[in-house]
Amino acid sequence: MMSSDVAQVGLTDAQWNMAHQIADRLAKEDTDVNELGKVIAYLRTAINQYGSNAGSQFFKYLKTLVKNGNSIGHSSKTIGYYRSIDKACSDILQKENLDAEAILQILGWAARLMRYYKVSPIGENAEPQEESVPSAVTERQAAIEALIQTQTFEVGQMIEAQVKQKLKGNKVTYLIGDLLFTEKEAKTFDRIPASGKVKVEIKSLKEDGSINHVKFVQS
Amino acid sequence: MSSNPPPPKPSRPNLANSSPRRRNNSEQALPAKPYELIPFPKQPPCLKRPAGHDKYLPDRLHGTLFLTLTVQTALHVSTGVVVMGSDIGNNRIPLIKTMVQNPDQKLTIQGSSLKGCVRSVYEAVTRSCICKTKAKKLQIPDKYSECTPEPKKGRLDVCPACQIFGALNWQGLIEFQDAVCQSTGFATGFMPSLYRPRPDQRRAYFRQGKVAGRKFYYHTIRAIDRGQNQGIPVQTAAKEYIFTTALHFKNLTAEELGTLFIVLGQDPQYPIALKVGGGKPIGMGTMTVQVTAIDCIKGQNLRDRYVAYQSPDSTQLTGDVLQQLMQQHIQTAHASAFVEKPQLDALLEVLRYPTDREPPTGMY
Ligand SMILES: [Zn+2]
Repeated sequence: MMSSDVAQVGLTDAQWNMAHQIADRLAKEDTDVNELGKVIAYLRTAINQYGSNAGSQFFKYLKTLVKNGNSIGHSSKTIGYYRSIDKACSDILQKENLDAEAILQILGWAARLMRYYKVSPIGENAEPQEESVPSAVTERQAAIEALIQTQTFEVGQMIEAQVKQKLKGNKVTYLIGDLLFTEKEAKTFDRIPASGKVKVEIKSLKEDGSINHVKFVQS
Repeated sequence: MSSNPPPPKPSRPNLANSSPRRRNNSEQALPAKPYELIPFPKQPPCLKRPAGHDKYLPDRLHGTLFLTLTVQTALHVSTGVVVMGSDIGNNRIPLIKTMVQNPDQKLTIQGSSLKGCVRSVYEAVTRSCICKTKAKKLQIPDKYSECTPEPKKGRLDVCPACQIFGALNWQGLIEFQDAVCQSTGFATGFMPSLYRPRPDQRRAYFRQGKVAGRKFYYHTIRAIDRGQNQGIPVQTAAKEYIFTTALHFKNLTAEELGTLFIVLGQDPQYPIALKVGGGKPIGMGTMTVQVTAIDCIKGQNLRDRYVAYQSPDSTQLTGDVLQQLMQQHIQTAHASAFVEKPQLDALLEVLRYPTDREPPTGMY
C-alpha cells in the first residue's frame, strides 16, 4: 500500500532530495511553514496564468517578496522568512532547470516535511547524499508514514476510511480518523458496503490542509 | 470633524503592554471597540426536525430570490494569494492580495462567503446554536453547541439556523450562488495589518468563562484607507460596485422566509446591511441588498412546473407585488415570535445602515 502511494506522488529521487533539503533548511532556520504555503499558492495560480513560464515568474516573485516584505509582513520576522525561502529555492531549485509543475510538487512536499521536521528533527540524516539512494528511499518511506500519522494530506491520495452509514440520496458517511465526511456517491453507491473499511481518494483539501472531500475508490 | 479629540498616537500594539498585570491600563488606552456582542436569547436553541429534501412540500415555500448587492464601503474577499501587481495588470504595485475573479475578469464573491454572513445574522435573531466560532468548547454556553444531527440514530432535530443553512449531515434548504460584479475591473485598496482580537483585554467578551454573545462589527461611513502601520494592498470592489446573485430556497415556512427577508435588510423597520469579507474592524465590507425579483413556486402550481418544459413567466414577481409579498412574510415572522425581538433590536444598532459612525482610529 505504501509503495503505491509513493508511485502516485511522482517525484524522482533527486527531486525527493531537493524537497528534503529545502524542508530541512527552512525548519532549521525556523521559517514559518505558512509563509512557504503562501508562496506555493502563488506558484499554483502562476501555473494557471503563465503555463510553462510560471517558473521564471515564480523566482521573480520571491525576489519581490524579499524586496517589499518589510511593509506587508505582520511581524518583523516575516522578511526573514521570505529571505530564507528565496535563498533555499534559488540554491536548490533554480539551477536545476525544473518545470513549474515539478517545483510545485517539490515545494508541496517540502512544506509537509517541514511540519514533520519541526516536531521530529532527523539530525545527521537530514541532507541525504545524492548517491545514497537506498537510505533516501527508506527515509522517504518513514517520512510518508510520519506524514500520514500527523494527518498531512494531499489531493489524489488514497486513504482508508470506515463506512459509518449509507443515507438516502446516494450519500455515504465516512469516518476518517475521528472526523465524519458525508459524500454523494452517485455512481458507486451500490458497490459501497454498509459498514467496514474501504479505500477513498482525497478529492479536495481545506485551506488548512485538512480533508474537505473524499470519494469512494474500492472496498 | 474638528471637534473630535486628536487621534491616539499611532503605534504598533506593544505586546509587552498587554500582560495581565497591565491589563487595566491598556484597556483604558484602547479606542472604542468596533464591534458589539449581541447577547443570546433568553431561551436556549429550540431544536426541531427539519423539512426534508426529498420532495417539495405543498404547504411550504420554494423558489429563487434575485439579489442586487451594492458595495457601500470597500470590499475585499480574499483568495489567500498574494501576487505581483503585474500579474493582475497593475505595474505600480509590487504586491497585492487578490480577490476571486471569474473567467471574464469580473470580481466574484463566493456563495459560501455570502451564506456565512447571512447565516450569522439569522443565527443571532433566532434561537439557534453557535456554529462557526473560534471559541473553545468549554466556552460555549450550555445547550448552544453546534447541532450534530445523526440521521441513522433517528436524531434529526436541529436549530432554526441549521434547518435552513445546513449542519453536519444535513444539507440545508437554501443555496447561494456566487455573486458576480456587473462591471469588469477592480479597485486597489489597502488593508492595514489587523491584529488578532484580544479577548483577554475585553473582559466583557466572557461571562463566567462562557462567551457572552455573538460578535458583530459596526458599519461605518467609510473604511479606513491607508493605515499608519504595516499592511498590504488588496484587490477590492469599491463603493458603488454592484454584484448580482441568486438564492434558491425550498421547503421554507413563511416565518423562515420572512426572517430571511429581515436579515437581508428588507424590513423598513430594520434597515440593516450585510458585512462581507475582510477588514471588518476598519469599516470594510458593507453591502446593501435589494431583492429585485422572486421566482416563487407555490404548492398548487408545483405540478405545472414539473410538467412544463419552461416555467410559466407569471411566477416571477417584481415591483409592488414583490414588495407586498416580502412585507407579508416579514409580518408573519414578527407575529410568530420566530424572530427574537430583543436580539433584532440590538443588532439594528450595530448593523444599521446608513450610519454616521466614523471608522476607528489607532489600533483596531
Ligand atoms: Zn444549529
